Order: sequence, then C-alpha cells, then structure tokens
Amino acid sequence: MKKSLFNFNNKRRVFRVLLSHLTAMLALLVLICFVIDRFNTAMAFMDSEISKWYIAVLAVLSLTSSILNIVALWVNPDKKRKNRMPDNH
Amino acid sequence: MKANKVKIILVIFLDIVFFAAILLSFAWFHHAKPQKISPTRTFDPRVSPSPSPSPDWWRPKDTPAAGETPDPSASTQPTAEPNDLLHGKYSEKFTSGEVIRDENGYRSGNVCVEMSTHNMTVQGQPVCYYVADIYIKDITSLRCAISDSPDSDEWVTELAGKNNAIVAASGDFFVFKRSGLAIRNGQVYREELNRSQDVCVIYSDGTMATYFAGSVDLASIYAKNPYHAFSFGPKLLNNGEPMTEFNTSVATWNPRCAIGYYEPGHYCFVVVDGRQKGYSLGLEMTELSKLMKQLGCTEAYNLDGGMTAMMAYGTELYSQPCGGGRQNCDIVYVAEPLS
Repeated sequence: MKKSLFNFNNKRRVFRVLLSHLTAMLALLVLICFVIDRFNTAMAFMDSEISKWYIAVLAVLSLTSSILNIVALWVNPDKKRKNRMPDNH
Repeated sequence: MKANKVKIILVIFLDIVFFAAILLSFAWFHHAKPQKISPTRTFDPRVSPSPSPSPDWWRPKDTPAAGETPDPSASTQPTAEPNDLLHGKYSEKFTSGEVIRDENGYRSGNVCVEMSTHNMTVQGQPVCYYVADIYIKDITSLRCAISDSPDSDEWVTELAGKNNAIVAASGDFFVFKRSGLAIRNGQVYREELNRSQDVCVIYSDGTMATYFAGSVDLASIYAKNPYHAFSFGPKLLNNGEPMTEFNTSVATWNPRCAIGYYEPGHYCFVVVDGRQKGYSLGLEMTELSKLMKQLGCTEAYNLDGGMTAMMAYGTELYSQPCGGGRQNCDIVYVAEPLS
C-alpha cells in the first residue's frame, strides 16, 4: 500500500497543524497591515471593518491554539517531558 | 530524509499559496471591491440635489427614479432666486445673460471661469500647471458628479460632458475608499470621519473650510449645512499660510489636483502635471502649498493626484496627465446653477 506524504489519519493532529498554520498566516497579514498602516494611514489598513474581522478571527484562532496547548501540557506534562529526553530515542 | 525534504517544501509552498489567498481576499474586500453606497441624508433643502441624471446607486432613497411617478405628498423644492454669493462684487466678470465661451474661459450671467496655463521651474525641472479661476453667484454652480455605477469608473471628460460641466477636475475617489466623510451636492454618502485624514467642507453659504484630522466632529459640520465634503487631503494652508508639514505620506513630486478658496463664490481648481521628464516634474506638497498661497487662496485642499489628476474644460481634456491619466469615479465641476 502506498504511503501518503502526510498522515491524515490522526484528525486531531491534522486539526492542530492546520490551526497553527492558519494562525501564523493571519498573524503575518495583521503584521503587514500594521506596518503599511504606519506609512499610509489614510487607507485605514488597521481601522477598516474588514481588518477588524481579520483581527477577530486571528484572536479566535490564537485562543483556540493556546487552549489546546495548555490542555495538552496540563493533561500529560510528564509524558511530553519524557518524549523530549534523549534516552527515549 | 528525502521524503522529509519534499514534505517541508510542500508545506512551505502550501503556506505561500494560502497566504497569497488571504492577502488577495483582504485586498479585495479592503479596497478593490467597488462599494455600493447610497446617500443617508440630504442637506440644503433650498435646491434639488442634482441636475444630472442620478444613477440608481447614488439616488437618495426617497427620490423617485426616472420614469417613476413622484410622490405628490413629498415636499417640492422651492425655486427662489439664488442669493448672490459674491454680493455684487466682480460684476465685470459676468455678462448680462449671454454666454461667452472661448479658449480663455467662460462667462455668463451666473458663472465666470478663467482658464490659464502656467509654467515654473522646480529643482531645475519644468513644471506645468493649470488654473481654473472660478466665480459663481450660486453655490449650486459648484457641483460634484460620480460615475454611473460603483464598479465602472469614467474619464473626467465623460463625466464632465454628461453633466454639462464648464470646467471639471478629478475628485477624491471616495467610492474607492472605505472611510472618510463624503458629501456631494448636499447628499451624505458616508458619515464617518477618518481619524487620519484632513477634511474639506464647502458649505451652502459658499464658504470652504479645511480641518486637520481629528479637529472637527460631524455635528459641527452638519450644523453649518454642508454642500460638499471631501476626504483626501491634506489641507494645504493653515490660517491662509503655506505649511511645511502635511498629513500625508505622498509628499514628493507628483501630479497634483487641488481646490482653492478665496471667498464665498470665488474658488479655483489647480491641476499640476507631473511624472513627465522634460515637460513637468510635478510638485511636492510644500511647493503646492506655496503655489496655492501665491494664487491668493485663503483655504486649499489637495484632492486625488497621480494619474487621477486631470482637468477638463468643457468636454476637452485641458491638462496633460501622465500616462494618459486614468478613469475616475467622481469629479468636482462648475456648471450653470440649478434653476
């Protein structure tokens, strides 16, 4: 059986990976808007309605990502620590 | 190992594609998508809002479309003799009623427009600019027009022709933007002051005022019965004096379009050609500010420049815009007053 390049079987993992990438993309967009808004304030890159929506979506994604991370660390901190130890490799 | 490399490249590629999609969608919704706007309120009950055929998308909600029967209960516009904004001054510039039109200008009983072309040198480079010196007895002679639909811009000459303009200059491209107060012919299209843009308001009594961003509120503008409000800027004169610092990031040599004010009933349109080496460099904002002062203006405001900056005399292009100019969604123009 041909092995897929990406492992899509672990849906939880796929969701977290997508979430991270989406958060990074939106954060980059907001950062770009922030920078160009310094140069051309008249275009209201940070003040427009659409910008506010993008920032809101970024906040939701960041919050979800943070909660997932906190929960993961909270639920099984020892396992994660052990996994990082060189002896386990 | 090789599979890992492919995986990383694929992930980066997908990230770039995804980011481009997000960026494009932002650009589309932020400033590329044409807005469908309609007036929310109307000022100046003395006159009808517009003489030109109003396209559906900018007609006031309570105004019947062409072919529709007007509501008989709706208040009719009085046709009182307009007050002379100039109070009898400059009577020599007006005729007793006949229209005189030549390459130097236009004169009638209500409107006088004097056209002129000037040359100057800036930074050792030639600069060519055009001035339309405007005298009007009625504020309704100074009007604005916008294109037939929000997603189809038109040439300044086309808009001028459709509206029987004597002289027209490009406006502030307000449909293109998402914020900033926009009032045209007494009709309010956007009731929002942009925190970072200077504002220009022409009131129904013929006065023109320019305000620094954040220095005025809507209530005080509305209290004085505004007829036009532009949101582009920057303001070019402060207490009638040239300025050195401006609320803009586009202050270098460029084609420019500005509206100047002397007193009620006396205005000017100034269009500066630019970006054409050997013919006209364009002006910096400080130089434009000085020019408006030299022309004798007490208030002046910068409108959309660059390729947009164009002036039409009648239906002919009067200025020589760089790259042939570009289509625009709005003009400010002078015409015979509304009856």
